[in-house]
Amino acid sequence: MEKTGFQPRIEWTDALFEQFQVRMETNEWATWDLFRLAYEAERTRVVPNFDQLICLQQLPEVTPYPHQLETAKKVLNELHGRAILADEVGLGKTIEAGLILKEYLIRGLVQKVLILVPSSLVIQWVRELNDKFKISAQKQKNSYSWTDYEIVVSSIDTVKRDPHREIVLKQEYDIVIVDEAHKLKNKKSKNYEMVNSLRKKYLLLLTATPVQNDMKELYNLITLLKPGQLGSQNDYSSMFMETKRTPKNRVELKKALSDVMIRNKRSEGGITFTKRNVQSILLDMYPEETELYEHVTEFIKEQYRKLREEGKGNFLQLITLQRQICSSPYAALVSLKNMKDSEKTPPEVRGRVEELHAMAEKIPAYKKIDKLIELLQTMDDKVIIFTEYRATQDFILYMLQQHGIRAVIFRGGFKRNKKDWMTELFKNRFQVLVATEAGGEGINLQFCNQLINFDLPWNPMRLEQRIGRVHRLGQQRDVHIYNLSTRGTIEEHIVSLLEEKIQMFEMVIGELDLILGNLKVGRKLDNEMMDLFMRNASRDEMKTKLDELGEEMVRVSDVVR
Amino acid sequence: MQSQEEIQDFCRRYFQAVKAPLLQDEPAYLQVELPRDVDKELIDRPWHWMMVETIYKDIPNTVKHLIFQQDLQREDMERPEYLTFGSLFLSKMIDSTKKRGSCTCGYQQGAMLTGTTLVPVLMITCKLSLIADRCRDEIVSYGVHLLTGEVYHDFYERVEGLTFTPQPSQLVQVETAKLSMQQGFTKIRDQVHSEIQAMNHTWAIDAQDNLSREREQLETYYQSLGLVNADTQLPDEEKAAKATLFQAELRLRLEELEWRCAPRVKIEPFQFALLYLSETVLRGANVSRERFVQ
Repeated sequence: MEKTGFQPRIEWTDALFEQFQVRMETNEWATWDLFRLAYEAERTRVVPNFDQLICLQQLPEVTPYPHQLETAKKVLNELHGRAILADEVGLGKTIEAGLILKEYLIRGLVQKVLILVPSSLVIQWVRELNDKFKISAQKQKNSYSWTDYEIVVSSIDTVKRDPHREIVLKQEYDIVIVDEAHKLKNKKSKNYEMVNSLRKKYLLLLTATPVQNDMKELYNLITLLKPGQLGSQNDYSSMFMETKRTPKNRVELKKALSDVMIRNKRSEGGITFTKRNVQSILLDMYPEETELYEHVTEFIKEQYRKLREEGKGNFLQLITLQRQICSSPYAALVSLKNMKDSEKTPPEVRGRVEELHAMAEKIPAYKKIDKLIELLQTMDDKVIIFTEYRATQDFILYMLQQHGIRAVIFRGGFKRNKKDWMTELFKNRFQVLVATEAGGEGINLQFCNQLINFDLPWNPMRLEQRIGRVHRLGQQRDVHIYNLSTRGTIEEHIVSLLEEKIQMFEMVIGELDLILGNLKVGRKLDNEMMDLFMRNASRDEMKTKLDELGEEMVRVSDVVR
Repeated sequence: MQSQEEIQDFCRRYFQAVKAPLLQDEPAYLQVELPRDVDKELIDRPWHWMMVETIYKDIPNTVKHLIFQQDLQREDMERPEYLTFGSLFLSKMIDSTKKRGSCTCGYQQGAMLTGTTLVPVLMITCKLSLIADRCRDEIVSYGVHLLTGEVYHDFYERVEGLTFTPQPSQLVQVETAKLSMQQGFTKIRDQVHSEIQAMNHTWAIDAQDNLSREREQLETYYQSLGLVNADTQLPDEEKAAKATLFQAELRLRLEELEWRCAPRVKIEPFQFALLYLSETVLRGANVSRERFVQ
């Protein structure tokens, strides 16, 4: 095509001329004053340049960070509106997406919008868009919502189900935004297929972990945005993948990625987060607790060995029990009761289980609980207590009530409304929130700056997610974290791994997600720790292994950075 | 509307134009009563009106307390609403103004005009937008002399400061249009088209280049998918099914690309006016002028 002769297409909108001709008949006219006012009104809607952000004029209450502004501009001007926003956790990807969306709306480039987020985040997105960005986004309610509303926020699980799927695929979306987009990483999944089939102009994928286990995941996400950006799958594998988890030709890869992905890192930004103060409290269990712990552990070891000898590989129940006994004898009690009542429990073991159950029932006092109450009584501010287990959560709640401490709970399976309601209660009326991991997902509790880990997840990523509930952008105060663990238990080792080896608590927000996202560290830890422990490894051997694990993480973190 | 004062001034003028009584008008504060028709345009509550109009006949008009300074303190305010440039309420007022002020017809007024003849001119104001995956706009206005067919640029600026009334004064003569509105409009369109052709289209060439690049990338990618598919050991039917699927997907992606990135110029007339003017206003108005758009 000869460039000088190039002519863009010309489009007229003619509706108003028809109206004018009707007015000629009816003689209904605006006054000259009103006419002039309308001209001035239209002038406020004119965007005089291609590349400046105009939305800020309309958002006097939003003060974005420089990296957020830069990101928004880059997506609009250089990435042509199709991008992965891959900032590390806590840097405000939602704000960036909000700015981009607002800018497109003001410019008239976007009207019809679909926002897909995990169901636990739907309300939060609707609220943030309405309150912060003055965008009238609606929560998807039923199959009419897709056509009734211009801007709909929905969970991806809803969209991919009938009858919604069929309706949604008939729409033309000016923009689709997907939060937690790593859920699209698998090309064969329904999620991927759904987003791929949508008819859309612009597309934003938000994820802090564009690569979790496999470099191919990144390729898949980019194929959703711009098929062919990284060549064919074979080109990509041979050019950019050393192994499944490690990239090669970094410089070229980075360059190819820069046209489709923006990743801001904590370490680069001028953003200062408040400090993390960590205090690990190592407790000595009461004699009855120690006795139970030893008996249960002994039992688990026996079973573990037996399973290994028989070549059966499923140790999950045993690992869980081992972790529960660390969390609280009460949590183990529930598991033991289930084993006792289960028909699957082999008869030769049943007697032992019953014995252990009876022993657990007789525990008169719990060290961790006593310490917890003591701690709470010295604090006169909001506190979040995290535990891995529901049984422990119930027990903590019960014990707090016994001591006249008012608390609300969060757990997985709560509907969003209930979570919102609980958050309000916690914010306004109650001192303490007791949450299980699953319950903490997607909630922001920056108004609270004290966190107690009643037990510790073995996977540091999950610990980071706990802390991320309070230690994020918007937290005004230093954050205080207390880790409870008991001497001589597996938890003692975990604490030292997290604290000393990988210095997890000194890490900046969001660094870990990348490092650990690359390794299946969680499962690895579970299995390797269990194995060491079960083989009666010596303390030194255990320490050596932990050092190794720690070093591996540090290595990975160097690679990733 | 850069400052809060300008926003307040806009509100004041809007309420006057739509005959909404201003109950109080003070610095950073307006108290206004909304007649029902205005209320319906500014506050989105169709259910409320359906109820009200079937059950009650007379309910008092809504009274709004608008403030233009966030921390304004007054005792007599009920649920004050703080207006800024991004407020939904202001945005609705802008929509309402545009809707109500889109068409006018008027005769020029003024002491100097006694004994003169007014000629008919069709004026249009347009938003001209350059669009690809990004966009920018400008406002352009034109007038066309409905006797001679001459077309004038930047016509709004020329008449903005004049006064017009719905009826001509007794002391002037008024000529009748020789061209129809359609003919006048066509003349303007022709003029706009030739101006657009003469514009600097660097932006469109860049957009077109990007479009070609992305199109090529898509085609290459799907070609390679096709080759890999043809090379597999799958039964022929499955291969064929896959090939069809890839083709459909490619078509969808290409349509999306075109939709997002193809450069085009959109012209949206947002006002029409039939104005009767003294010839002196038209004198010196430039007909052919080069337009340059960056």
